[in-house]
Amino acid sequence: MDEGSDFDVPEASDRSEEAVPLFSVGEVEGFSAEDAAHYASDELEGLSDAPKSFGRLAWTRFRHHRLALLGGIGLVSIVLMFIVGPMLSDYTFDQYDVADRLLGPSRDHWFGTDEIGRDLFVRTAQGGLYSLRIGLIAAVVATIAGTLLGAVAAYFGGWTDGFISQLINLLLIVPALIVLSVFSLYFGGDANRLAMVLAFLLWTRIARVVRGVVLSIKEQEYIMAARASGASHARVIFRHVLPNVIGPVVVEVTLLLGTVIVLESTLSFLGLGVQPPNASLGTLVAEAKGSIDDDPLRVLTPGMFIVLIVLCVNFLGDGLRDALDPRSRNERN
Amino acid sequence: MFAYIVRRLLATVPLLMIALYAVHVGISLTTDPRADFYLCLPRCQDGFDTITEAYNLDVNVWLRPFTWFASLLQGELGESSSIGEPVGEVLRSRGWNTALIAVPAFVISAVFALLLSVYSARHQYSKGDYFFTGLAFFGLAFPSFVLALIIQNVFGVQLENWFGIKPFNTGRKTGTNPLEILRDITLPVMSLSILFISADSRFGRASMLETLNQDYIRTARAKGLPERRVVWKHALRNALIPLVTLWALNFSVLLGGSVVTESIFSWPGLGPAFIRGLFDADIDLILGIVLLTGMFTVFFNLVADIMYGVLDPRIRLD
Repeated sequence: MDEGSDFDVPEASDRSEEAVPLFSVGEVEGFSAEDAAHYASDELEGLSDAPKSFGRLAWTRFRHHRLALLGGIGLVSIVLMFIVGPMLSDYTFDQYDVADRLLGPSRDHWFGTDEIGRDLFVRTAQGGLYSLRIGLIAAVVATIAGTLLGAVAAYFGGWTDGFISQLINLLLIVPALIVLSVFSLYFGGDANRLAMVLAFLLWTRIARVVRGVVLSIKEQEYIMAARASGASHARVIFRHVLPNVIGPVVVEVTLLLGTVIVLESTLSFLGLGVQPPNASLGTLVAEAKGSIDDDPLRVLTPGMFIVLIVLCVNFLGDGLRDALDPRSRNERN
Repeated sequence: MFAYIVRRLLATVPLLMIALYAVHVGISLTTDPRADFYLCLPRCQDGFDTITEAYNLDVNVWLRPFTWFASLLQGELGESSSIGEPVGEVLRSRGWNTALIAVPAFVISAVFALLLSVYSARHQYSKGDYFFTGLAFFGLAFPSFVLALIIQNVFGVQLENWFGIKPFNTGRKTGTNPLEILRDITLPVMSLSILFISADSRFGRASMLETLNQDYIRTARAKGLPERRVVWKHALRNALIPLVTLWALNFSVLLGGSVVTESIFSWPGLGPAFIRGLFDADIDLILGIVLLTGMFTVFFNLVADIMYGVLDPRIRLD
């Protein structure tokens, strides 16, 4: 709201959570180190209300973000259902029974059966976990690669920056499907390898965000001070530059996770992603789409699970963005 | 300005060449147009040799792209083996079909996204804002194939079951007169627009909100300008800048053919041709499409950069 809010909290208090306690307290019963730090900070600041650290503020804001909480709870319950559900079922992932083909939902088969009588509930659960696993690995790898390359590009500038920026532009021109079809021939339909290919396609987004943040950080005095006191480039990047990009990167990771899950399901739908005998939510939709006119439910169930998962992940990302955005630091929501 | 445009276009030529080179090598490494011939090899040596000759398959993989570049310089794009027509001809006819759904989808999504983001930003946290933001969240979570399948099924099939009428065509292009085209493009345009409106309106809302909170907007209000003028003239101009980038990217993506949506609606555009070329190792067609989409990307990026200068005269292009 008011413009002054940015300056209320001094920059240093951002890190007060990670700060080493000012004095060490022996193991006194009923008086933990945390309490001591708490009282100490009260005394030092001379405030009745202990100033909240950035981490604590973020957590408070996140907790009050109802959508984010909803997303988190939804995601956890979907994952739990995917893990626990198949254990309660009598059927396994690829056990078929042609006599029971194309059944509708019943107490025996919760989501019905497919064309060769495989239980669709178990398949959806397994496919969902497979999709989530690929999404998670791809998002993490893309984040690490994107953060490092973006930081290196911005930090060193010049020739390095030019090269990495052109690489990003190049990946914008080459269609994702080509990269995927070329790689998938070498890498196969294995989950981990597919995740690597997806990460190769998606690191550019993070790299661009990180590059922008680092460009402004590297001009600040404390970086020069660190260099002047003899810190190596690697140390400056890892200790002094990268901790500052954690906020934007965490937000990007959740948003990226949603993108990866959609991309993976789309590729699997087109037949370029997960290969049988494995299944993901995308292949389940593709398998059922031929009979959509007679039996729309078989397309809708895996389809809606993709939508639900991505929705939860995006809610989570939105909440994280509001919580970690320093500009909304003092707002109550 | 003219010098700037020429310089920008020239600077992208190497990038496009590298992209095409990488695509050529990548596809040559993973596919072999002679795949069907190996089984019958002693008998069909002639056919084998013809294809080897046509695709320069006896040349090293890393050198092969240069023959393609050489023929490109002479204006030759080669022949599409999967469709059986010259690539230039395929790009022209398929490109038209793609444009038939890309242009309406782009215009509709841009207009709606703009109206929604202005509405949501002006009435932040109102019921309407929550409603539209919620819808955008929902739309954003839909993979294109799920949305297209649902739209095709509901409007193309279930409507007929419920009411006994068939207002929309669920597949392929049937006619050439404007009314028939309008009927055929409705559903694909609808599925594409929903996706793009969801993505753009969230972005536009944030951009509009940021602009509306700036000092010069307060000044404009304080000096007594009508609210309509403040929003649509003073604020919109600045809020549009990030949106223009997004629109440039969207339009080039749409014109390059949406593989999933066009395939599901059996629309004879660039998308299905591309995916078929990919599966059939139709290297000339793929390279042609990559060249076209790459040029779209470069061109509309340039247009976006020029638009910045128009929207905000402080931005200098040189």
